Amino acid sequence: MSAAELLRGELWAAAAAVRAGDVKARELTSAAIDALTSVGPELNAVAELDVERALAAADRIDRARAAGYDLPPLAGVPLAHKDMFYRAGRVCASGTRIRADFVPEVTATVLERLDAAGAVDLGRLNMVEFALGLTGHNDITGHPRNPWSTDHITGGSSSGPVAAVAARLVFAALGSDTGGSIRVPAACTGILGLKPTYGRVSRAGALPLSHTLDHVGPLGRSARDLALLMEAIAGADRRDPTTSTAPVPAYSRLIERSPTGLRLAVAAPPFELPLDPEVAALYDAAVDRMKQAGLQASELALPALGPPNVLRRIVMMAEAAARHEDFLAERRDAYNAYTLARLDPGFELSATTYLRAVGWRAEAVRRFAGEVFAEADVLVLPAMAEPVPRLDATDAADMAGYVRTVNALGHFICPFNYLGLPALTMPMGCTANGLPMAIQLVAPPFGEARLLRLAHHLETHAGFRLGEPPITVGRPGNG
Amino acid sequence: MAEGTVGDAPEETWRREVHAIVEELPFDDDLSCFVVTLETLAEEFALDDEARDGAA
Repeated sequence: MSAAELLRGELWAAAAAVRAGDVKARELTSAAIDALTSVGPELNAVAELDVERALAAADRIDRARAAGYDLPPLAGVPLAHKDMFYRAGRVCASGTRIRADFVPEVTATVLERLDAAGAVDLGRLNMVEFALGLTGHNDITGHPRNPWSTDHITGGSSSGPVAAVAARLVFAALGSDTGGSIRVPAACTGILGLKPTYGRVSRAGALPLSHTLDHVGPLGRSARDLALLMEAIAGADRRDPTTSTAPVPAYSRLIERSPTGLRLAVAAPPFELPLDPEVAALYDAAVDRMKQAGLQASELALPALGPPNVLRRIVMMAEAAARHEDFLAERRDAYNAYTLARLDPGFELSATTYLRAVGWRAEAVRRFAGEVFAEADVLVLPAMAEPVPRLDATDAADMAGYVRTVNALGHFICPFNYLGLPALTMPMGCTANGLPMAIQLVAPPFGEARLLRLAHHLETHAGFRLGEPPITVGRPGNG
Repeated sequence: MAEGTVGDAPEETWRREVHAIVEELPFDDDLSCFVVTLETLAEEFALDDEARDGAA
C-alpha cells in the first residue's frame, strides 16, 4: 500500500507499516504534507506547517530502522495539532492577533511525549481564538470548514484539527476541551474525540483558558488510534501538579477485551433539553444497535445537567477573565468581538460566587457518580441535541440564535468538564443534511480504557463508523 | 432548561440562573485535591478485569 493510501487509513496501521519497513517515514510524512498543502487550504485547517523539522524527524526514524533499532510505537506517524501546544522556539499563535509572534521557551509535555513515541509533528492547525468558542468561528484566521459540507460548522474550538483528521490530511491530532472543544467538533465531523479524566493528561505547555476545566486529549478516526495516543501522552508530570500518579493502563491491549459484560446506563428521555426528532431517532436506533451487538443496556433517568452546566460556566468565565485581564487592558481592540462578548461577563462575577462554584465540584462528582455508576459501568447519552448547524445560522452577530445553538451543542457535553469525568464522542450516523451525528460515552474517573474498549466494539460490531467525507484527500477533485 | 446555561446568555437570564443555582449551593470547603477525589471514586467503581491488567 502506498503512503497516500495509508494516509486515508488508520494511525495504527501506518505505524505498523513503518515498523515493518513497508513504507518509509519520509514517504508518509511527505504524503501528509502534500495533503495539508493541497486540500488543507480548502478547509482552512492549517495555521503553519513545520516542514523542515518534520522531514528531519522522519529521516531520523528511517535511519533508526535501517540501523536495526526497535522503533517506538508511533514511529514515523505524521500528526499536527491545535495551535495551542507550545514547542520551544516555534510560534504558537492560538488563533489570535495578540499572540501572532509569541515564541514559547518551553515545549508542551504532550508534544515531548509524542516526540518520544516517534510521532512526526507537522505543525500547527487553526483554532478558535484562545480556545474560547464552541462553533469554530474565527474572523481573524477565517473559519475552518467542515469536510462533510463547507456550509456547516466544524464545531470548536479544535476546529482545524477535526477538519484535518476527518479529511484524512493527518492521522490524528491533539485538542483541548474546556467546555466541549474536543467532543463537539469531533461530533460535527464524524471522528472520535476523547476528553480524558481531569488529571490524566498533563496540561503543561498548553495554552491555558480555565485551569479548573482545561483538559488535553486526542482526536482520531478509530478507538484503537485514540488508545495508542493515550498510551503516549497520559500519566503523571512534575510540570503539571494536577496530574494523577495512577498507572497508565495498556489501552491498546484492553480494547481487545469484549465489553459485553459491561452494564450500560442509557440516558432516557425526557431530557431537560429535548432532542430534535431526527437526532432522537438516530439515538434510539443507536441504542438498539448496541443491544443487538450483545451489550447490556438499561434505561436511566439522567441527573439534572442544568446545575453543572451553570457551575462550569461560572468557573470558566471567572478564570478566563482573570487570565485575560492584562491582555484586555493592553490589546482589547485586537480581540474578535465575540471573544470579548464571552470574556467581559466574567468580570462581573463575585469572588464568593466563583468560590462556591469551584468548591462544590468534588461533592458534585461524588453525587453524580453515585447516582449513575452504582448500577452501571458506562453512561450512554446524546452528544448534541440538534443536527450540525450551518455556518450562517451560528453567526455571533445574532446573539439569541447563537446562544440557542451553543446550548444545543453543549448541553449534554459541558457538564463533564466540571465533573472531571472521562467522556468520548463517536459517530452514530448522519442526519438528513448529510452531516454526522454522534453519541457520547462517559465512565467513572480514570475509566478511559472502558470507553475505548466499548467504542472499539461499537466500531467493529455495531456499525458506529462513517465513511470518508466528500472532501477527502485522494478522492476525485480533492487533490 | 433556560437559555444560557452553556453559552453566552442574555445578561438578565444568566444573572437569574447564577443566583438560583449558587444560592441553593451549600458552601463546601473541602480542601482535598480534586484529583484525589477522582482517584478515590476510580477505586470505588473499578472493574476487576481492568484492575488486573498492568500498566502500559
